Amino acid sequence: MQIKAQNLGFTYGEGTPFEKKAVSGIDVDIPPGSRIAVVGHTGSGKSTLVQHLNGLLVPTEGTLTVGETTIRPGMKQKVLHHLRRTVGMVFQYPEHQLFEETVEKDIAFAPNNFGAGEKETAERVRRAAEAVGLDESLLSRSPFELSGGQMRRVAIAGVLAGHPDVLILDEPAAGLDPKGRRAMMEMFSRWQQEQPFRSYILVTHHMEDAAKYADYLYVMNAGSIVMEGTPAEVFQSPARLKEARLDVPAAVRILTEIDGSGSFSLNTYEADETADEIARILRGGGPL
Amino acid sequence: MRSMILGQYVQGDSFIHRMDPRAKLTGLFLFLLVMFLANRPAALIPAAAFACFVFLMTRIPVRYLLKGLKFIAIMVIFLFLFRMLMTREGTVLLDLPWLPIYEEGVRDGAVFAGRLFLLMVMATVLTLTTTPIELTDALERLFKPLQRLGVPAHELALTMSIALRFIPTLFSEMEKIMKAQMARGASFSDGSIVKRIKALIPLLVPLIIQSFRRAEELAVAMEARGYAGSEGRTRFRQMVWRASDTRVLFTVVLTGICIFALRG
Ligand SMILES: Nc1ncnc2c1ncn2[C@@H]1O[C@H](COP(=O)(O)OP(=O)(O)OP(=O)(O)O)[C@@H](O)[C@H]1O
Ligand SMILES: [Mg+2]
Repeated sequence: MQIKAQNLGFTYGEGTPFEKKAVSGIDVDIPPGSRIAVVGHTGSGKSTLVQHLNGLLVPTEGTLTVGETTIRPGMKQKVLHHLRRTVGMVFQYPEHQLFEETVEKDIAFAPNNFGAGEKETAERVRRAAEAVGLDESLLSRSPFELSGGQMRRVAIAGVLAGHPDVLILDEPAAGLDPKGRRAMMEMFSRWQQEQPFRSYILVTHHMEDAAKYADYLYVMNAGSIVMEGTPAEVFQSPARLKEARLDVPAAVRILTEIDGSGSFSLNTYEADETADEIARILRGGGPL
Repeated sequence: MRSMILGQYVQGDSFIHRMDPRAKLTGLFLFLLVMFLANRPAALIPAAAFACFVFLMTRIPVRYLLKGLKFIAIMVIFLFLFRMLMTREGTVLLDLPWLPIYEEGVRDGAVFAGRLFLLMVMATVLTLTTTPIELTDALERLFKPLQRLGVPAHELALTMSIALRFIPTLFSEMEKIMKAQMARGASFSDGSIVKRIKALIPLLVPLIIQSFRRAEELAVAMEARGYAGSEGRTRFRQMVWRASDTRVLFTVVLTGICIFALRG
């Protein structure tokens, strides 16, 4: 699904004393099969921007095209209901959205709403539970008896079961330890690779995650996109990132210290890869 | 929701914002009392003038107030009609077959509706210019004499300020959960009444669960910081009653005298 925003802007509480312009002049173009990250300091407008993509917010300026649907200011949120079928969304602390008596019923909420049949729903619930690594024995339990980590998995399974083409991830790993964080991101990565047309859009403060799990970054500051490009391109300008109150990943920082010319290349930005790259440079820049 | 602004606070630095909250509360009460002196619509003119004057002094955009009073205005008009049709005295103005309209009815209805409307406007001005914390502090002070009669003034005020403090939190929480469920295909504005009520379950269950959790956390946090009721508590925010506060109350009384003079 192609997503294209042109000069998109959004103001909260238009026409009240609480008016607050959250984003403005946003241009993005996201082809199917993308792995995108939106990074920015707190309050820079990331959540506001991504909530447009499934019609939860309707722009107050500019236009947004999601697949076949073009959204313009003044459109009713109601008529955008169908977008939620193809664009799924995992909110920050998604476990707060659980409400059903059993895990199974909670995961079935989205497929039921989207009109999947009984058999189809049961199949989707099973597959989604498996994708997030939930044991089948948990399906009949109450979601409120589970641990925090398990609850989050249930909530994410509940989004995956809606069978979206595009997944919006608003800080999905907030509050997890590094191991849990990696497991979560690996899971989304696997999900995305299952089908060539699947995309995700990851909202995060975490530059390492953005570097590793996205092919293209949008950097936001004060409601605007101030930089965009592949991780390598974006990390070449630490000074501009600093202006947006962000930092480059530690691996990039270390390598820039060692090799000021910036001729290093990283894919995963992880410790072992960085160590290899340092070794290569120290040996005189030749291949390993 | 946006057409209801009673209870909202708009930050500002006007004279009304800076008044002692006790004076504002007392003033509102006095205003209510003096409006009872009016027995015909014309006698409410001084009260209306006073309300306009006070509102202009808050420097809050008039447009905002008008928008926010829509809901109240509809209610007031409804009450006016009701009252008008219930009173059957004086000469008949309009002889509709089922609902004759009497002169006395129109007069009585207009006074009643006018009073109610002005009271709502002033109550709105009070909350627009006074933070909830100031309000509860003021209430606690004003209720203090009742403590001898066994009224737990401090606890009441604290409960109220906690409730007020968490209203915006609850709303933003609700908005978040609503969005999350909408993202999963829920719809809160479609279908029959039964369907709509059923649609509230995915919203209310998480909201209630979170409220309980939050209440527990708050209780623990308060105890951890040594909260032990009103005994021996000192205050961080001091209220100062200035001469100008007294003058405002005096103006309300003056308005009352004007109303009295205009009685029919
Ligand atoms: N419901 C709302 N009503 C009014 N203003 C809002 C609302 N939600 C967000 N804002 C404001 O819009 C701006 C952008 O907020 P947004 O939540 O999009 O930022 P963010 O980049 O997601 O931040 P974070 O990293 O903290 O989640 C902020 O200044 C915020 O105060
Ligand atoms: Mg956010």
